[in-house]
Amino acid sequence: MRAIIEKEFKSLFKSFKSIAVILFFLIVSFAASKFFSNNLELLQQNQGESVYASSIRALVMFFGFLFVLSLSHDVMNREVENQTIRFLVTKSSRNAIVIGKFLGIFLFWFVCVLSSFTVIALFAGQLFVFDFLKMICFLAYAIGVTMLLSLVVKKPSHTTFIGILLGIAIPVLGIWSIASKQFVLKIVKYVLPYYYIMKGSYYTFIPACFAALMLLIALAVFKRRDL
Amino acid sequence: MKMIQVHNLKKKFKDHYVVKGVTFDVEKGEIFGFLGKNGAGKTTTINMLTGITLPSGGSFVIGGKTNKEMNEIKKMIGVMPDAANYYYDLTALEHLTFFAKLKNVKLKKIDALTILDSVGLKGHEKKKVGSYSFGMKKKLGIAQAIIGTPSVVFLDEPTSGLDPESAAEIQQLIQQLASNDMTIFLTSHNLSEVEKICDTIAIMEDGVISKIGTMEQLRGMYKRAIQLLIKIKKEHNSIAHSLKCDVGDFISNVQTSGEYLCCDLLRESDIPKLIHYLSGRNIDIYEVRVEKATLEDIFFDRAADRHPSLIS
Repeated sequence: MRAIIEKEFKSLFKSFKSIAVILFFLIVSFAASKFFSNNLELLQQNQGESVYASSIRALVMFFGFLFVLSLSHDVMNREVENQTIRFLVTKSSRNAIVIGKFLGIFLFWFVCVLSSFTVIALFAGQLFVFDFLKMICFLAYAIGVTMLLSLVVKKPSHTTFIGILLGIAIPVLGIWSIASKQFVLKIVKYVLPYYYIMKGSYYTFIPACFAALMLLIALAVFKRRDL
Repeated sequence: MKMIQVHNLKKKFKDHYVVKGVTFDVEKGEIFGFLGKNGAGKTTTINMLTGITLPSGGSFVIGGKTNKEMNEIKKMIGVMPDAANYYYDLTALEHLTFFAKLKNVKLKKIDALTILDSVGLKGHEKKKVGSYSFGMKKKLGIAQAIIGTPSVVFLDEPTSGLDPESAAEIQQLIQQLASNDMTIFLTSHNLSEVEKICDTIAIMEDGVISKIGTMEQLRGMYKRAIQLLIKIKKEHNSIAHSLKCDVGDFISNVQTSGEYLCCDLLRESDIPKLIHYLSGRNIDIYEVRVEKATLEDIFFDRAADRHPSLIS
């Protein structure tokens, strides 16, 4: 499994899109932190030091799905289409392939968010551990969706389109559902991660549980797949 | 010792059975050739044995592990899948290192280079696979299949698309691997290659194995295993009729064409009997040609077409 994690992680770092996303995260973190450190009165008016992390929080919550889906929508179906999966599946267990891919992408985003929070911590002079965990749980959910999409939809060209569509629709639906009283949107509220992230406390970890559930479904789907 | 045991293996795609219950055994250190026309089901069979495709029925045992223990089987097999692509941004050396890590095999750089050298990729190890020719990719396919010296190696059409020199090198390598107790399971469209290097051959037709055995056994099953062409004087042509009557028990067919008698025999041991019969009747023999049934004849079941010009 280690080999798959390593390969997925490295291949994400090799693409131009990934580098652009990391740079975007770092620039936003740096710019926001600099802005807040120059306007300390804003910290007193708002929630205190946590405001430092608000920029990265907004970035992840609004664009997290779009970024993850656009970078990794073809994580499984590309391997199946190119038939490189045949090399993997004859050497490693099917579970190891799916979990390895998931962890490889997760590691990439972990490093990406950690770098951003490191920049923020340098300016704020303190660590935002809970905010960091919130973002990681949120991104784990997004990675779970990406893995499932890539396994259910067989063509990478289709997942490109569906990925962008979902990347825009999920944040809109997620945020709308929190305020809505419509029955359908109430269900959506409990299925998407926004409500839990907003609520904070131990709710923060519920999206990570959803991610684990999606990973289990992905394992079951892949186990029954002819390659 | 049986290395592969397959029992009534089936594969269904939608409503159609592609493999309709195949049963065969492969001995340790044997080169097992799997033949069949396109769509016969040989790649599907190899894919089921290697975990690429899931069987719809039946079972198999590889190295003592059943198909329920596929992850254990994967540890002792090497696979060169049919028509698989590579990671074009990686070099051959990086591919071998990655695949070795996947199999939890410790592969030193020197060992990886030795493997690449053995398949004729020396000097190309640091080139990106995207720049490789079709033949070079085939060679890399074989190289990655033998990482960690597996007990069983599955090769799906290992020499197709290779130039004759490279194909001969690969055939030699396959024989060398088998001599080191590796069991080789290969599919091929190259009948002469299979006839040359395989110990046992199975012919698959429409999802079932129609013929299986060593080359000699396959000839034995064949109604015209040996064809004997005997040049005699034309006036002795009438002997053909006598032959049918007197020694019809070992001659399945006799025909004449000009100065030639064309006799189909079942066994090699019948040749001296026939010669003895002819010389006993004072028939001068000017030439004797023995034509054994080739795999191609058996595969296409076309012995009668072998010498159309000679047959009257």
